[in-house]
Amino acid sequence: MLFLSRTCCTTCLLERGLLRKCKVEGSHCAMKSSDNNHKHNEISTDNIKTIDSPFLKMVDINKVFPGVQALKDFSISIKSGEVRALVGENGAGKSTLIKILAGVYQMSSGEIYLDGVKQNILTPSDGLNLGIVSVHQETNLQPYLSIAENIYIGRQPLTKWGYVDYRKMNDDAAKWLKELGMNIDPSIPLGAISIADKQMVAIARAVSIDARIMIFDEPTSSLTTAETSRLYEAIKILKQKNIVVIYISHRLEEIFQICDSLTVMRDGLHVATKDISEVNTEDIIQMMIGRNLSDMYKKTDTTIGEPVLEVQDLSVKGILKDISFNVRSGEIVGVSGLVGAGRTEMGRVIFGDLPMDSGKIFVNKKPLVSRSPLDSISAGIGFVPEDRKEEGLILTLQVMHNISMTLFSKISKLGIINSKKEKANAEYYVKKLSIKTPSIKQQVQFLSGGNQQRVVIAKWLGINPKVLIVDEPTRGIDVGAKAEIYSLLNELAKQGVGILMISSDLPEILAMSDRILVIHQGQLKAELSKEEATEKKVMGYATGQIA
Amino acid sequence: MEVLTPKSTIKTTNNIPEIEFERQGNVAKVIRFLKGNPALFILAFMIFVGATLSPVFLTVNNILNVLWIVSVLGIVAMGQTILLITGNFDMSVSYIVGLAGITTVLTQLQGAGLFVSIALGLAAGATVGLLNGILIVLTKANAFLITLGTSILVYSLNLILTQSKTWYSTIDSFLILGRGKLFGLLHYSVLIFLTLGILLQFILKKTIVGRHLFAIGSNPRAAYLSGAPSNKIKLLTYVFCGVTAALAGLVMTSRTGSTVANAGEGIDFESLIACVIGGTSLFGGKGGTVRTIVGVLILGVLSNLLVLLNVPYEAQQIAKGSIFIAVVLIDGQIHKR
Repeated sequence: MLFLSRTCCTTCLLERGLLRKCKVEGSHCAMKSSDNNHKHNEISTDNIKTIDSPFLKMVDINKVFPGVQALKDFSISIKSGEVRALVGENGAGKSTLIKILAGVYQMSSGEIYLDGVKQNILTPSDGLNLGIVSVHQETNLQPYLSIAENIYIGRQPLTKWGYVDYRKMNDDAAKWLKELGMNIDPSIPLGAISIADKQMVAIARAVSIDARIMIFDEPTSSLTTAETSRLYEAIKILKQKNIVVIYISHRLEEIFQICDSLTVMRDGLHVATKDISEVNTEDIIQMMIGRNLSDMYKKTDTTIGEPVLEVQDLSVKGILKDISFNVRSGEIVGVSGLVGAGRTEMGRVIFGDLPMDSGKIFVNKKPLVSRSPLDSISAGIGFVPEDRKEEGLILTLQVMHNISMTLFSKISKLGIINSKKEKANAEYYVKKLSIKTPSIKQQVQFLSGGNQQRVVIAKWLGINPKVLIVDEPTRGIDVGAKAEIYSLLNELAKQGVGILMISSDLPEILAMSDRILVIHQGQLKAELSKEEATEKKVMGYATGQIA
Repeated sequence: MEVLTPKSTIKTTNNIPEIEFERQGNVAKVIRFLKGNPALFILAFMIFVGATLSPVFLTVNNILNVLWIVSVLGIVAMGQTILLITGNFDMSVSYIVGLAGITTVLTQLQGAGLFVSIALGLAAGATVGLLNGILIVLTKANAFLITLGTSILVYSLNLILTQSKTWYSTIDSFLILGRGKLFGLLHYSVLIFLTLGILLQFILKKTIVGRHLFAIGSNPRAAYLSGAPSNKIKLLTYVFCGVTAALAGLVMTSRTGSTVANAGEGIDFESLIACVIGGTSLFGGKGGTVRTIVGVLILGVLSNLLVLLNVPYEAQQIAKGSIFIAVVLIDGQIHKR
């Protein structure tokens, strides 16, 4: 441990080979920095000797995919019991890094140390054997097995006769779950519980197999506030158990709540590692995108005109009840509410994807009679669905063909497509929305999330929509691209489109909406103007605390 | 706070497929085309082998003969290709082939004229296709199994109609469809097969309907939400497949002048094999009718060669079965999602 005395901060608790790395990064290394403006230098060498050495060290990791270097000399070290946030835009290399750690990918070069011992993690089972567990929504849990069976899968306790000892298994499982604050009968099938509960089961399994490193990749993307705070509690318990927690999230506010430190990645490079107390949101965003972004939510003023969408007494049995509202031309109306409140369903009913039991919908004062997406499109409604990859786009088709999907009438004659017109049209929108793609013939699956979303929007611009329903327009999109989506929505509103924006991102709703509708258990609980809406008020109505 | 900017811009994932094709010379283009169409390689290889092993193989007569033989399968495979592109199947085509011939011959025996009897034969195919389509649209059940079910029903119908006997066409001019040749050279049935293939390829690539077919096959949900009339198109494709199968049935009946209950037996799987060998995916969203022409030719040349080389029937079946399995495995690898 001699080398420790030569280093200056926790980020630099790395071996000799890494000192070179520190120099590249500039301000970190004591060996190099005789200049004392770096605050870590204040830590005396005596103190450093007492700092726990990092449990996980990844050193000079390189990962090359055909044509792309996803990670470039990337190093990271994390102590036991530390909750480390990993942030960066999409494509920064976060997933590649954790996949290498978990054994899903193999690195091109580099070294991984666990507790000071060099490890070769070649397969996911190598990772598991070393106690590296990845918890994400699509955990490979078995829906038809019970919770306890899932926790003990492959290592069920046996009776002396060789049968599975269900009683012991259920008791033990209940114990693990209870430790995480979950009182649930472990004998019920996993398929019957919520996503959040499944996540807790995955965590319980990890704890029960004595995991040392746990990776959370966007764990809260489909959780309610209450479920999120329960997850935080569970992470605190993991921390007490001295488990290394790696936490990836697009929601920066979460990072401040739960993480001790963060590492910022950009283009496969290590940008900075900081204590959470040292940074604020703006710092992080700046490090992530490499530029300032004070005006992310910049709402421009628009002229608000006549109602373009009117909804009267919309009801769907068991989902929505007597919902009435309108959206005027040039207006952005935000729809807030908890997951499961009926927000998404409302958008789908208006677009004609889900049937309604009663109610009336008018577009430009004209009633919508027959109800299918095709009818809605002809009436001038566009719909940007929540799940871009499954519903918004056809990933294997070209950018051009995706854009053309809604506007065949413009580019065809007698059912035959005019290739020249189609190309010109696609090029026009690619340019107008500055979609970054090497060619309009590129398959959309190879574009980044933000660019994919722009293709979805381009698709709807072509029909000259009167109403655009956008459901979670910036989900899974990195901060830089978010700002561009917002300015696009602003631009559309300016042109007189009425926008209905359904979102679970409260800052987004508050900043972008002219009016805010709050839905609670299928009912419209409040309609707030921009001025009267506050985070507290919206949450109050959404959770039903204000009636 | 010090923020690092990357020294060099690392190419993002956007560029992956571009890099492979950086060199765009004519040779590279040809190579890329062949890479995307391995079926052409296989066909060329088989023709080469055939020409080497058999002196008869490359004669004009033999080639025209092969084309004539495969045209029935080829016409069925056209409808099947369209269905496969939308991610659907039709396993009832084999007995539709029979039903169409039976309907035409029996109505002729009842006194119907040439065109009326042909129209009724085609209508019979369209009806079964419509039935398939309605069942699948309404129940959203597995297309493979539903059409296997209707297939059995249609076979029963064929047995009832024919009373398990062979029936003969009474109108001589009906036989032109299967036996007649354009300029005494190319069979009309071959012409129908090839024209259909090229026409459909145009529809697939250049028309709105074609776009809808690929969109529905690639991602039905996204296609529907973008305004594709999914149910209408599904019905239409099943009716179309029924009609092509019926047309093939008429060609077949006209060739022999007679019909039996199980006339088209086996053509269901054979048409699938032809499509998949040609490069149309079993998983939807990929394929084309010109590719299917190549697939059909491969099967035709294979049979022809095995016959010319006096390979026993059992071995021929082994060869066909093995090739089908190989192709399905390759298809699974290529189109894995």
